[in-house]
Amino acid sequence: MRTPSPRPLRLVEPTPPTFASVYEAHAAFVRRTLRHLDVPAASVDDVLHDVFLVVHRRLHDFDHDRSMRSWLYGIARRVAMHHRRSGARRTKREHHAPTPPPPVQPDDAVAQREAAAWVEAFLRTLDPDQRAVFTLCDIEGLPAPEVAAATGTKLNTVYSRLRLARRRFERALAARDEGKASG
Amino acid sequence: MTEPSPRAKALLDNYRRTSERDDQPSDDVRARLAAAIAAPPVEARPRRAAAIWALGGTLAAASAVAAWGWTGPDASQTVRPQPVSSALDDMVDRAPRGRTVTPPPAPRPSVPTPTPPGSVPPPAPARPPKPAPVPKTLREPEDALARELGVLRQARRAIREGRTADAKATLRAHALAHPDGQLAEERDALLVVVLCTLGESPTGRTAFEAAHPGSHHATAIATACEKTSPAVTDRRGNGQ
Repeated sequence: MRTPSPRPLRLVEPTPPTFASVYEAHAAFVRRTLRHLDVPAASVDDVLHDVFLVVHRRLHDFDHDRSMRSWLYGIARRVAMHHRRSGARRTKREHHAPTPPPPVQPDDAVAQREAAAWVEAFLRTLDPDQRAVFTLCDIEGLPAPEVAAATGTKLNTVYSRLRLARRRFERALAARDEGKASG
Repeated sequence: MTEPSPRAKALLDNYRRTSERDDQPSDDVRARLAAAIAAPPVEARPRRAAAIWALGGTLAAASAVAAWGWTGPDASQTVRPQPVSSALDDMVDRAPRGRTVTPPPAPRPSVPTPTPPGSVPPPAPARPPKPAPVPKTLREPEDALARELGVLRQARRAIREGRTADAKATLRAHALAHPDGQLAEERDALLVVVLCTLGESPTGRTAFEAAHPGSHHATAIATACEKTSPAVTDRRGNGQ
């Protein structure tokens, strides 16, 4: 786990982040987070839109002592939940929306994408609680206490979920290597 | 706790990097969002963030115009698609509207207390002649922001329609009227882009960077200014 970096000295009051800068820096994070929260692929952009509408309204409430990503995660989680509850009808309709084909890529980009797709597939095998902790700690690099706050769980629970998820990941990696060696 | 192995870390890093590239929302998503927050029907009043967001698009459009001005029409330099207004109501209607996300209503101003009969009215130099339902002093910041926003929208439209000189005049007027306006940074950024497009201000970019260090408009300005004056500007963006 990455150790949290010491907080910088605050010499002046931080300037509030602008909406545009938050969007530019974190839109991709929010998008993958929504996928990890089991938002269907066809709805991800609509839910992302809703998340950033909330961000726009609430940006003045952002607490600078928190990390932006854990704050965004909290919003994304609530909006995704809202979408799940209210969106059954919509999901049915959007389920058939065609997925655009991936653009043609050079070889190394293909390899990177394949590796990323493998990680994505692995994440789907985790239960949602473990997935949330694993992605926030080991992919996004948030410190465990922030993850505990963002997911509303106890710190010890975060650590135990993280331990289990990491073990599973290493096992899946070993199985993948075996599969490659035998195949 | 066992740390992930180096291979696991490398794979997860690759996953994040790939996502940072592939999960960037499309221009269409961006345009719909910009439309929803630039003209929110749910909340009647404009917000600073909306203005700044709208300017993100403005700068992108301005950069594209700048590039066009230098290199001539080019299919690869397309202006960001403009928001489709028909999508607006639908998208905003679908926004979550729980209690937790609804901002508190704008504070209602207190009605001025009537002067008791017989007392000497205090000197009130800045008092409006008639008590309006909403006292002017309280509406002032919003009105000012709305005005500034309007000016910047006007400039943006002018840039989009190729009337760069009009955009310059509009922005200059704004700079004179509101030197320290709430949207001064955005105005200045747009002005520098326009001046670079017209090839009129080789020092505008430096002045902007000095006045607004660390501005997130710096990249857009660098793009516009480097494209229009490649001979005098370091293309790597190291300044003049």
